[in-house]
Amino acid sequence: MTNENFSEAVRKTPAGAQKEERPPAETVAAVGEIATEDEVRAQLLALDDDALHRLELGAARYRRMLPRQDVEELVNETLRRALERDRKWRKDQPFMAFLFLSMRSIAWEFLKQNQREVPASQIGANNDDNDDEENDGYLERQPAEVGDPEAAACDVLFVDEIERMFRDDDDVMAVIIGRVEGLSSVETRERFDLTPTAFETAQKRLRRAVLAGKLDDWR
Amino acid sequence: MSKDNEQKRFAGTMAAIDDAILAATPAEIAEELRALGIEPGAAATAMRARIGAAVHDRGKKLMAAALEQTRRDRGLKVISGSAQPAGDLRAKLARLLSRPGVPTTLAARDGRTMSDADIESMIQDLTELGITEDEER
Repeated sequence: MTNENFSEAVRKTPAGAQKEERPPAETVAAVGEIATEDEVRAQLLALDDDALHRLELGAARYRRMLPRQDVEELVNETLRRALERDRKWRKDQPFMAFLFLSMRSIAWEFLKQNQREVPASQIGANNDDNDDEENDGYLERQPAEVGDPEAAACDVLFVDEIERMFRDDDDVMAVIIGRVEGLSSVETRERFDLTPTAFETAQKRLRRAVLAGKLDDWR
Repeated sequence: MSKDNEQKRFAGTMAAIDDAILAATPAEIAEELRALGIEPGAAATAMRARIGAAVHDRGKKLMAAALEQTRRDRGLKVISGSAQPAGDLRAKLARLLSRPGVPTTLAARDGRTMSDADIESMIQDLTELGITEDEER
């Protein structure tokens, strides 16, 4: 599979067609039931060491795209939005998948925010709490093209780099394309004719390639 | 590439990486943390502290909102508590939280996961809400 095929696959999938996170069938419970704040807090406080390690790794993965302070803020913002239910946890979704989904979404916001020059005087100018919605309002009025070109291209460069790295690895590209198209693991395996073992080892190669490198390389 | 496609490509690629992290074994995760120069034990401790801080901040926000609501409802009548005798503050907090009128979100905090300082702070906050063991209300 080539890089061109990957981009073509992305273009052919209509925007907005991406499906929501899908939990494994065995975890499906009361579909669509939204957790209360107490339930979210209880889940967070009950996370074991392994889950906390995954959260740390999940955030560290963004170090090539975001400035260090943003990566650190990413976790705080994910926790805050979960607790305040700005992002709602559907109880049929694994809790860690919910946190990772929130983190992705917030990382995207940070990336877009970094693409625009926001004068310090505008940040929190009318809001001591530096509220996101206030900043969003300012940002939405700014043209997307302004700002640091290097930062602006960070997300694209990162994804390009991954595609380049795996252009000759059909299995890893299948794992990525399946996700871009909103397929579940099972659907991806079926569509690309992957055995469970091939799928798992492809995931491992992807994970190791993305996480490789000491934090000294943080931009 | 359009903005929508760019976002979709980014989100899908990140989701594939998320899946790969979630699918890893605990041993693999610990090993990859170490490869990044992060000691797993320290990472868990730090992350737990961040969660604790986030929960604490949220509790303070709720308390401030409840206080504000109570002030509005009661016309700024706030009853100060008297000096606290030495005793089991956790038991006292549990008694206070079981009293009628305690906001549900606060009543759910049973004190077992809170530090002594947090418990004292919460008892003080409840006092400001007029929720005390005095019967003078």
